Amino acid sequence: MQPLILIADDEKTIRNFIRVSLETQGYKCIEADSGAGALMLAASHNPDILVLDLGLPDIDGIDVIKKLRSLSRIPIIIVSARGRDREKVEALDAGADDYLTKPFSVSELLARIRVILRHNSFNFSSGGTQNQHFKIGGLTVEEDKRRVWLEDEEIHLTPNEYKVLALLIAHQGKVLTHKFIIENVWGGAICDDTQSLRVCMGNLRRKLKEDTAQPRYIITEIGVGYRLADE
Amino acid sequence: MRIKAENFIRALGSFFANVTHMPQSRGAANAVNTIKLVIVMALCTAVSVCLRHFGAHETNIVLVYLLGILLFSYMASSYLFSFFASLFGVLAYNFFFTEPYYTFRAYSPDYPMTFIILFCVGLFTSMLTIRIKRETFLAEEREKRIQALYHIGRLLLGVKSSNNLAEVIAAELASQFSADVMVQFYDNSGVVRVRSVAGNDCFSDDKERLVCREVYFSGSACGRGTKLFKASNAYYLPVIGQSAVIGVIGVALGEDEELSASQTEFLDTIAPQVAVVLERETLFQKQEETQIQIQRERLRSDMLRTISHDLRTPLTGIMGSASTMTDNYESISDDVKKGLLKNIYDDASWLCELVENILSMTRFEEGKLKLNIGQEAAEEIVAQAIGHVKERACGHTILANMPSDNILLEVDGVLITQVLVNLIGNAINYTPEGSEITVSLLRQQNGICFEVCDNGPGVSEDILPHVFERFYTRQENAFGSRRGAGLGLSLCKSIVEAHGGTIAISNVKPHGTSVKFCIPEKGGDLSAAFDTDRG
Repeated sequence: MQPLILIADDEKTIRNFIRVSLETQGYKCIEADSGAGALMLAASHNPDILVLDLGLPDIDGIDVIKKLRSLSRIPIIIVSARGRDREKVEALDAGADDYLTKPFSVSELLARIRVILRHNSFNFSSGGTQNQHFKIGGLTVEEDKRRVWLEDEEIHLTPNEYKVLALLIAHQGKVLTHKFIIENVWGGAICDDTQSLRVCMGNLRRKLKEDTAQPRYIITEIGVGYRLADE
Repeated sequence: MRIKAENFIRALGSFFANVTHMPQSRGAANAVNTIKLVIVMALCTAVSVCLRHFGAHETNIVLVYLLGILLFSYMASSYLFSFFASLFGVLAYNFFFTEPYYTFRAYSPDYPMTFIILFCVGLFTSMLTIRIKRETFLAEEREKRIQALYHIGRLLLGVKSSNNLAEVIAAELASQFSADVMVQFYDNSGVVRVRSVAGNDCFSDDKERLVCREVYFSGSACGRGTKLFKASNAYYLPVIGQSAVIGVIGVALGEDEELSASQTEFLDTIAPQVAVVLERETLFQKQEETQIQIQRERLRSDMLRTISHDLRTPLTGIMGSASTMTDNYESISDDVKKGLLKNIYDDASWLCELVENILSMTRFEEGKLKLNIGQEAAEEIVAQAIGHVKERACGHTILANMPSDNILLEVDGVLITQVLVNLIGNAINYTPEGSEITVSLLRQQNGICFEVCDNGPGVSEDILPHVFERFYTRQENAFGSRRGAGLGLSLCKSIVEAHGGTIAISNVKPHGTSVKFCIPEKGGDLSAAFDTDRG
């Protein structure tokens, strides 16, 4: 069955090109030009993904996300103008799954949609099998034994570094905000202190032998957070 | 005329007394003068007795008394006492030295004439002496005041702002009057914009403020020693500019104290000077603001001109490609279509970059740019910037040269990323394909330095100093790429400087260009990195 994608944007040309490019990839699309419309269509059609512009004319994007989150777990990809990082982070913390910055390319959008769909199906199909080896590029993580291998060589991570890596793996391809990672790894103790996180990420990158010019595993989203490369 | 002069002299006397802190009551002065008179007369009599004993002529005795009267008048400087001195001189002469001795009678018919002449000469000469003395005193006083005025005038020349003016005047008047002085200036709507107090601020209670308002609205002096608000603590006079009252000067006075005529006169001389300087300052400020406004306008129009020119080129490309496609959709091959579409995409993405820079630039221009300072890891910024430009750098190799330790910075991550994006973008635009671009991160004495270095042809030395100027573009050697709006580097400079950093460009050997910018390191110390007790 084709996944159904709801596009909520007040600009007709943007809806148009998103719809055309999604339909050529075999997705089905429905469109809404307002926040209220998006909420209604989301309730009535139960789409697989919502692509939501944060700057809708009637309802603030963050409110749309909060309302939707109180009803369902529908994945949300937000679209926002560049330079409004705070808004982005807020939306992600409110429950959005991923974000795109205007202007974005269609290939980016498609990649994000694929990641989300894969995750959803992964969750449904393999809910019980926890003891998996995670592999990406030369990196292998034995989740049951908490051991990490890079090109057949075992690397030793501190507990926090491992926790961060495991968290990124659990949400592979999805951007995780600083706040989210800190809450899940350090607990609430250091809410606003991203310094520990940055130092931890720096060390982790070094241990994974990341090239700054071409990061292979951990991708930094300045002002927002981190994501693990998709493949 | 005489009375006026008398008043003036008395006023000056009390001014002098105030200035020199020697309060003297009239009664005490009279007592002192009386004692002096007695001593002088006794001395004259004693000297005359001696002279007579040695057989001197009687004329000498008359002259001795005359000398005594003169000396005493000079010391006492009082017309009344010189009158008494003359009188007592005559009486003493009559009593001691005319026959019959020790009586007020005189036998010789010459004596009455002698007495009258002695009296008159004594009186006139002593009066003249007193007058000369007083005029000298007056002249000295006048000179003092002129010097004070001159001093203030010189101070006013060096005044830098209205704040400074208020401070200087308050301090100077306070030292001249040995009193607490307040100076305040009003803006056009009657709100106090500058206020300076030298000494204790006894001008701030409601009553005193009311007096100030009255002075501001009436334009005449109020407070102690005037007709209005006699009970107030101070004397207030307005500083009147060309059209309205622009300030008020207040001089605090002790209980029962009043300013003397010469003191108010002095203040009346100072106030217009203050007004002139204040208006000069206001005008200067206005002029400066206009100048800034003009510059801003010029900048804006420059920017508009340059930008619209630069926008036109890619827009023409986009419109042309699109219309070619819609008009000839059936007749052109898919490859051509693809090519046209790619053109549209390239032009649009270039426009996008430009708009991004323009937006940041205008944010700076209107003074609205708030640096969104946060803690960022330097290498993450570099990674983000390289990731951003990678799509454009098909033919170029980008290398990152990172230090082995973590460097944390307190910066606006988005803006610093934009600086790097612009620098790397420039390196791509101005070097031939196949060039190598190295982004390095170094910790140096003046902070954390980011360096973008290429091995292209370099920049010619004569345009090197101009590259950070706004709207400056080096058109002649862009490689296959269109020229920029000349916003990139000047924007970089603005951003780096907003962070308190520096940026510099230089050519490197054997060939190539290096742009390096350094941001001061604030805190960001790794030793504190694991200190998690702060939340």
